[in-house]
Amino acid sequence: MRKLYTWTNEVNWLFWARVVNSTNLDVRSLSAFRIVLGSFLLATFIPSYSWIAEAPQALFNPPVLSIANFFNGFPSSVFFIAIDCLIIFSLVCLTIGIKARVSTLVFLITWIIGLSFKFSFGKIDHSSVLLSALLLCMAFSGWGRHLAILPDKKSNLDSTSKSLALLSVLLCFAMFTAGILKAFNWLDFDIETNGFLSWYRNGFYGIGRQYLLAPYVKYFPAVLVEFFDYAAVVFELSPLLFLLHSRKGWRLWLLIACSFHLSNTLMLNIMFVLNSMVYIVFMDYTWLYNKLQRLLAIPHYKYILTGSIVTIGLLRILNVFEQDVLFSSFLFNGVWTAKYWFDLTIWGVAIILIIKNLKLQSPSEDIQKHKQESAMKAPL
Amino acid sequence: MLLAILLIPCLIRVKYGHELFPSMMMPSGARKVQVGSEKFEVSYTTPFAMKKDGSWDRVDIKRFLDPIPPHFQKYILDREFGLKENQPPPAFGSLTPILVKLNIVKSRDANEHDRKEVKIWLKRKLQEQGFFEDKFKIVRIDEVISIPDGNKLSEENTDEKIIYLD
Repeated sequence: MRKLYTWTNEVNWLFWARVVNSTNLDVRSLSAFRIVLGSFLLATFIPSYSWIAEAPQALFNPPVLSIANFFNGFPSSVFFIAIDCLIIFSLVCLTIGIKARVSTLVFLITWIIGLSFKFSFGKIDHSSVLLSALLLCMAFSGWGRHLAILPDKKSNLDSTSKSLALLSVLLCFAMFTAGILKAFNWLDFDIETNGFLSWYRNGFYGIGRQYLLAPYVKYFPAVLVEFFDYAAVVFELSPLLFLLHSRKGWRLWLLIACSFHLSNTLMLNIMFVLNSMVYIVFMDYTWLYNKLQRLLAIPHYKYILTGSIVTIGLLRILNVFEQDVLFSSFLFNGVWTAKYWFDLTIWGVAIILIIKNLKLQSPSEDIQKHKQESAMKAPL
Repeated sequence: MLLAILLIPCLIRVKYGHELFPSMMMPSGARKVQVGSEKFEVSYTTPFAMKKDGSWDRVDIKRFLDPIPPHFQKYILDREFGLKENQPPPAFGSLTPILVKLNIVKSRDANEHDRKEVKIWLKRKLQEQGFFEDKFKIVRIDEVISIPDGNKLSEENTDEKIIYLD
């Protein structure tokens, strides 16, 4: 029994050691990424829930296993306006670095509460899953310690390596849940039936997803679409292998993931652009950290950058009171083709970022590179 | 511990078909279609209402549901806007009695006040689109679309239910 316990412990330790080896980064990289993520969310994605208060109470049908199930109906508009304002306020604080750990948690919790009520119309959607995992893990990564107006103090709660490792495992698990049923149904070695085409036909003929390359998919040969089925299953069931293999392997899988989403946008017009943030968090941003650090050392730039973010936040809060932000897109409200092009651009940028990072081999190499860069720039 | 946190929601989904939110689960969408099929069949429910000339016409669902996003259409119409009576609570097998006792599983039938409220809301929505406001019907439509040109080959109303708002 004792042997088994020791063996389990050893396997567990080895597992996490390999995961940390594949994912670890300098905390300063995450601090720079925090600003990228916050700005991206502020500009393109602000969840809004104040519209829920306009819905009749009879429509309240929350998922049994959700926060909203503890309520007897939709709360008042004051509740939802408070949720919306808290979301924006916490996101601004997260971005400019005012107690980023608490801000991240406030953003995450209020977002999940808002979503619980949104899903009370009858359906849980899954576009929030990976981003919420990212926020949860990053809250304890120490990403608020640098490039921040009110930096977080060093805390025992924070561990950059553990938070990145946990995020990568959560990502692998989420992919597994998507892939395992596909494996049973799609790996049928039958060219007559196809899973990819099921998604395609439902989107193209049923929902009107007929943009970009979608009109041409119907001319694809059966062998190619059969290959898509197998590729999707292998992609969704394989991340843990890549993660345990090596740092380069993990980044290679992230590259495949971005390419997968890019092709999904092109062929199926399915947009999951928020996921891009979850993939690119594992890249090294110490170069950006150095640039931002130098820029923010100049008071004028610091005021301009901070002021811009606060102004976007204030505009967002104004929108809450005008109650016209249902679809949450600041840049392309309602213009679907523009949204698709925007998504393609983001996936393209993510792919370039990952390709650049593929060259960095070992976990220490990123950190070493940063230290060298810092040492060279120190006299400046 | 981590494994338990991750696996329990999965087991609940597999065993009872209910999803926990939040949880680390993604949709699988593992359905399949016949590659050589020359038609695509789709079923959906949509509301129809009576125009001033007495004929029934399709209601613009986006305006009808506004501000609720239209992708909730199916779920809201399935519950007849909460007006459907005696809906069974979600089932969790042998755990159901315990969950009922814990007030986790509960009936979500609308009370009289909520029914009145939703009827007023629906009347206003019908009025906005120029329909008679005393009733509307929820129609289940089976459509057959030809592949690859996308033309509609047939459309059949397979079920309908009139909802009276007075």
